[in-house]
Amino acid sequence: MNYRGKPLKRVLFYLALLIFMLSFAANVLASGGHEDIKQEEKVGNYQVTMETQPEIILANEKATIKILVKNEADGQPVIGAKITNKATMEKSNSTSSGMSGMEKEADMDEYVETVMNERSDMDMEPGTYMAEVNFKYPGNWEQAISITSSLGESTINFPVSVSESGPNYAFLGIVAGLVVVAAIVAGIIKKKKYAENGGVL
Amino acid sequence: MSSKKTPINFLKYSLVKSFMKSRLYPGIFQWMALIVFAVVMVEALAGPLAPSENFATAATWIIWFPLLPVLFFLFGRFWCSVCPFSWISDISQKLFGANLKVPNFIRKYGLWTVDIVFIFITWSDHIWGIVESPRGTGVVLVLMFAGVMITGMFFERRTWCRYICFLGGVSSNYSRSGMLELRANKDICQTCKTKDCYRGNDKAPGCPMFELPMAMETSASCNLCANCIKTCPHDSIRISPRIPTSEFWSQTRAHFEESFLAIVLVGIVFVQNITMLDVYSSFLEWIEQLLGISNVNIAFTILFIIAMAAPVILIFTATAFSKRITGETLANAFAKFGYAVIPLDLAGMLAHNLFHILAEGKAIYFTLMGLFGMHMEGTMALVSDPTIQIMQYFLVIAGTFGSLYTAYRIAKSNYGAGKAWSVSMPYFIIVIIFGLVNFLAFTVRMGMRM
Repeated sequence: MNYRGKPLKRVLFYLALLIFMLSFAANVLASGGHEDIKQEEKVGNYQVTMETQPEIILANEKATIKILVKNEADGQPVIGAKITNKATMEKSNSTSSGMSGMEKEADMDEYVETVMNERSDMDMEPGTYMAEVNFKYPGNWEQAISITSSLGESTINFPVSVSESGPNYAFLGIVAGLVVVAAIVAGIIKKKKYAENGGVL
Repeated sequence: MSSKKTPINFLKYSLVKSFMKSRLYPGIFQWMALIVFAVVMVEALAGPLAPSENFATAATWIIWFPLLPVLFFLFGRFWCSVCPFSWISDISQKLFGANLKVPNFIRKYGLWTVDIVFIFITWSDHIWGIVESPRGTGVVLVLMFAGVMITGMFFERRTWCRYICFLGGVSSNYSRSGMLELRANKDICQTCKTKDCYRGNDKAPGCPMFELPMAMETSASCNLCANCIKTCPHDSIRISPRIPTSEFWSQTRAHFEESFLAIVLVGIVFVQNITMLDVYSSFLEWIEQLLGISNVNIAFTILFIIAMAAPVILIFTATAFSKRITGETLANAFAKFGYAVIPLDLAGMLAHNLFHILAEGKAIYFTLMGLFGMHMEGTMALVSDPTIQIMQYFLVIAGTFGSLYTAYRIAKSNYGAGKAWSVSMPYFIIVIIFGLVNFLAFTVRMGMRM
């Protein structure tokens, strides 16, 4: 078996360093894009603030939709309301090139309907409702949020833009980094064995 | 197999023998698989996010995964020698291999690790939707890629394939029920001093799966890579057809963890079936209401645990009855008879996957054309739903009979013909229950993956 001692080790070391730096940079960049955005609307007797997490919603990845519902008249939180979120995307809004492809999708708009659950956690403001939504396709979606409580029934629309996601470079970088570290350690062990066995593996 | 008459040996055909001894085997298949795998990796990580447009989703979940059980049944673990991961392991080993011995805990608990990882991946697929997400598929492939490389760098032979690969448990169980076996002629091997089949020589490396062919009783690990055929100086190796499931009743040693996985698989296949049924969401809602929970993932996890535990409990119950006659310990009898459900497992999985191949088969063509910028439209089905359903029924019935027969033969070979019926009767009842549940699951239309 060929063993290329020092040069190989040096190359691997620098390669590992490079990959770690890249993955660190990618992580920083990735985490930078995860701030919340807020949209505020008034409808009927309600004042509704919507936030999404992450800010850039990616197709086919779960996003959290959070709304804060207040009484428009006195600013008090609305608790115990029944809230549903029906997110719809017309096919013409899709940014996915092949949406017209399959038979089962023909002439159908995409929609996701979820029930938004009230959150009474300590760190949540009263009147907060949340749901996880998986927007299947990239493009512009319209969320119709229906609120039913003692203040009456109202529906409010919030648009949301869903982006197409590329490869997750941070994940790939971390995995590649681990493999490189393993290669370095395996190389060191191999060299030791080589030396112990008098040049035979 | 200790058959008295000489078994058929495919290696007696010079064409087969020379092909398997040549470098073309399995290289030619490995190259083809590697090319497809490379495209799948790129598509999974960077291709379209919609599963119906992604070649990786179609190739992995409509063709590869559904065809795997068929391959295992017909050709044993031949796929494992073609699998790109095995090649990646070999290459990593050549470049960096420290060639350490496999740690004892991996040898000892390898099968349990495989069982647990398989169960976890099946569960996580339903929680995170790996199958429906090309990126999810990509993440699993990348993690496997890294795992294979790392184990290849540190440990000897194909440690990943033998002890860690999450498909190892399923592939070994299905291959053992299959129609093909590679064995050595023990009379010849006893005179052999070199054991080149294990150690390797200038013609090929030793068995990558840590097997010594002369001691091999099962096809659980043999991946028909033909290294032993290439290295054996005495032409001791044969490849023969055999009666499906015969290995289970001719084996001398049963492993509890193999039986456990086989039985758990009954539940997993059932869960896979019901989650694809159109009535699944209303069923899950019913569970949520029944248990007073509002989290669909928790509801699924509860269903998953019950589905896995129920077959284990039922087989333990059957064993508790049969051991009154046999006097065996519960664990021993469970280990012996657990293999009996493998034919039904296999049939259930085949029936389930048959739907994906036949009802969505054209997706592979559509998504392949998509790689070249062409968008295809039309039905994805290769045959009509009723035809698929009839084939599914046939498979489940065949699997049920296969399991009944296997249970009977296990009882007969272990406790004699006189006790065979009475010992196997409790297992018959359980197998029929499993068969009926599977049959009923296929009476409802399944949902699609794409």
